[in-house]
Amino acid sequence: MDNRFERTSFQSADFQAETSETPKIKAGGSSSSDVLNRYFSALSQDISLQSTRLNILARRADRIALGATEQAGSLLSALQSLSSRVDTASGYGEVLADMHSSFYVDTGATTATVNQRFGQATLPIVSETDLLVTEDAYGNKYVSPELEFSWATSDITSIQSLPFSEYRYDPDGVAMIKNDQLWIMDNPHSHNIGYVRIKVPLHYRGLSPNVLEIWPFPAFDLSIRAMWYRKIGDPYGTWTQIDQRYLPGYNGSVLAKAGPIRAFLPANVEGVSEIGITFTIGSSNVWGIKQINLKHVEFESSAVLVVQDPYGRNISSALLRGKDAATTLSGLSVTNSSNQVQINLTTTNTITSPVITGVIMRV
Amino acid sequence: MSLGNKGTAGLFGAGVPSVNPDETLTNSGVLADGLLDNQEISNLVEGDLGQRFMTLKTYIQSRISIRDTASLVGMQRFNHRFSGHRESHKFLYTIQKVLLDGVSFYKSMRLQENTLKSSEVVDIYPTDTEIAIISHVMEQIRFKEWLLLRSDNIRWFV
Repeated sequence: MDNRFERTSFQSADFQAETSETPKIKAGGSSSSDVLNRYFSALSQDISLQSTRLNILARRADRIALGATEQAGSLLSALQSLSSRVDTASGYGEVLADMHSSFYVDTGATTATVNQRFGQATLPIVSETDLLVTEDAYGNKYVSPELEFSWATSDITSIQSLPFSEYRYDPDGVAMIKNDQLWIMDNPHSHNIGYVRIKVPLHYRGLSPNVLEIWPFPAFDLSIRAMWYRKIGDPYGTWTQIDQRYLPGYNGSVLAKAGPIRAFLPANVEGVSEIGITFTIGSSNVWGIKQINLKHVEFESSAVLVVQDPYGRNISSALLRGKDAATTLSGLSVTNSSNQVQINLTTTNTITSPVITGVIMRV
Repeated sequence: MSLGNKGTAGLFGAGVPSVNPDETLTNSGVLADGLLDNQEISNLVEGDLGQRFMTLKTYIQSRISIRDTASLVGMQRFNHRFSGHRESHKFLYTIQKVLLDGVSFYKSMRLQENTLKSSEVVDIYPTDTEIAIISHVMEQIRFKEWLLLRSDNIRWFV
């Protein structure tokens, strides 16, 4: 048992409590020099002790960081070998070009932006404005004092039914939004649904929020049940769910064991007063969030996504998978030519973009 | 032997200029005139102990260490009664030393805390490369499972 940090009283503390009833210097007592010398000596010892503790902590932090980096490196090389295994040619007549890898994407001919972290192909991003955090020229980050982060755990399954009195404010959540630190809560075990509410700033300089990014922690353990927003002016308790059916890990009801996700808000949401997220807390001892971004993103009006069968087989047909497949994606022009499929992404509204998460190609 | 006046009469005897041998010659043996000539500039080596002219960085570091050392010396055990100060000076001195050490200690603590804060998110969370690879493998396997099930071919599960 490491008890080096348990001592909380210090020698010099004895010298702090001088009152008129208990003077340190009094007639017939120790000389003032003697008192001072003892005080200095006590202070020196206390400071040495604190320095030692600080050094121990710093070395611990270094060891942990080094260990984590090295371990992550070896896991990464194992993952890369797995990745090359799933990319080998198969005898099946259909191939999925997912957007987490460049293996199926003709990167030379593609002008659309393929974000491999979120596994989404969109129109190129012209501008991106963070609506929660402001950063100055020196890299200092600021959040509006109106930003509030609160959380709850419960067995109640719907965000509409959970009373606001169940939530607790947490300034650590605001530090997380600033990307200063992780926000981690213990797994309550008695409840398995975690709620997070973010009251967002009152104004966005006229910019409507259209992108919500969430990095759950631990990644690939915590499931996202649903994401909600309250439009400005909506009655209290009225929440609208954000479409999540096209996001990775969607199993028909929730985003199971989610990694980082990027969801798009409808174009007609002009202002949001609150964001709500519900999690299914996994088997891990903790649940939390690494980062949340609410952004106003503007896209170019057109771009081209070209996917291909890397083994040169001719493609007879292609099926687009992604956001609003039946309404938006079905309207895009798709052209097959030998082993390639060219998809023309277009939009008439600068704050919306087609979102393609995969192309199923029949070879 | 008279003590003389430092800088004029000299420490090495009457009539002899006060010259410290360590300060008159550069490490290359060129007589220094107080100004850097090209030869002396080319002789400057960072961190060379024999170097006469220190860089600004080294100068600042040395000032900091002198200040720190002085502050520690102030906390050594000695008899304040005979150091020629009034009582109130001793207490003022104490307060200043404690304040100074407290501030520098707090600054170093804060620095550690900031380093931990700004790096913990980066160090612990999987990188974009790892996230992309894990998601790619999951998507491909999920798709192949779906293909197999859809064609009623369940050999893979047997």
